[in-house]
Amino acid sequence: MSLQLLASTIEELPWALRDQVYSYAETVKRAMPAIFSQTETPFNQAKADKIIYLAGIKKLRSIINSNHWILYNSSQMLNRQQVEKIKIGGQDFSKGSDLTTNLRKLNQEVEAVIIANQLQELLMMDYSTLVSTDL
Amino acid sequence: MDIAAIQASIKKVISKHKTAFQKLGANQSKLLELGSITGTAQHFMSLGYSVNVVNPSSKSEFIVKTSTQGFPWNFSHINVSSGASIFELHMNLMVESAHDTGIYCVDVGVAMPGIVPKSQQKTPWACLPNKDLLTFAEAKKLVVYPMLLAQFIGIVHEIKPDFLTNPATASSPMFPTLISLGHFSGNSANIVQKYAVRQFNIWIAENFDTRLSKVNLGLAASPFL
Repeated sequence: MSLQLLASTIEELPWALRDQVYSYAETVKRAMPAIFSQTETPFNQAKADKIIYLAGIKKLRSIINSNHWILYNSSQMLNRQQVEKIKIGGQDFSKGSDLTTNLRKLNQEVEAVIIANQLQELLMMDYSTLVSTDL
Repeated sequence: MDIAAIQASIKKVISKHKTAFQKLGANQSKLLELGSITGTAQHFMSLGYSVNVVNPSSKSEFIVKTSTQGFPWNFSHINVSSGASIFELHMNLMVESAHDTGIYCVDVGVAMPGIVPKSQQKTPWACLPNKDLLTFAEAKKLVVYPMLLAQFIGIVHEIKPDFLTNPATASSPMFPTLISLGHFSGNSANIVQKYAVRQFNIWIAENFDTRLSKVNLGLAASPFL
């Protein structure tokens, strides 16, 4: 159920990203029984479903966040070296380019969703902690 | 936790930023290549090296090499120097094997100065001689799982085996480094902890984006340590 819900949430993502998010959640799903067992908690399908869904959101956030920060930090470092433009494969990745601006906005909006739904702490927790947390 | 509300919000963001997501999906690997060379430069800066970016066409345009294709003189590189210690950082650099005539491509190669050609050559340039490669970094947009670590050890063995066998390499300013956007999975952290005991002079830079961010915020000097 949780994977179906996740698939429907991310159905408009391009395949490459959709696959990364879905595969990660699938891995977490496979590990769920072992995680419950390690924490000596009786298996609870409803909780497992929520954790698997959260895993997908965690992966999506990580993809956006990591790329935003790589671009931001690289630009900062190169700007200090008087580099004004960054070109990769003929595409413009400079500060102020469409890609940089869109990625920054995307990162801000996803973070806003996370805050609005009070997910910050939950997304920082490891899965064995989530098993024993009230969701 | 209101899953329905979360789903509605995330779907809305995805729908609104469809184009940005498409561009991101197509450019993830390229961004990691960029982060790898700037992160390597940050590492050398943390050791007191000065950094000088050298661009091929215009002084202000940094051109990233993202594949084995293309000649090094058509792309940017970074010179790092501290006194008599001078190196060049090149992206996707072709390098000779330490054992045979095999040629490999490393994501970031730290080369001795003046060896990688800076202009078109009369005879084709195949690769950097192994002795002229100080060290290197490999970047993967993956979680660090045990077989990825084993694969990286194999790469080090083929290209710079001294870092696995010769304790004297401990004085190198940079060890062969596996850069990863992911975290340690399974028992990977336990495997990596034992590298020092085994006198493997290699670094594993997991969660690389977080590491770069810490450097930028002044919370860490190098993204590798």
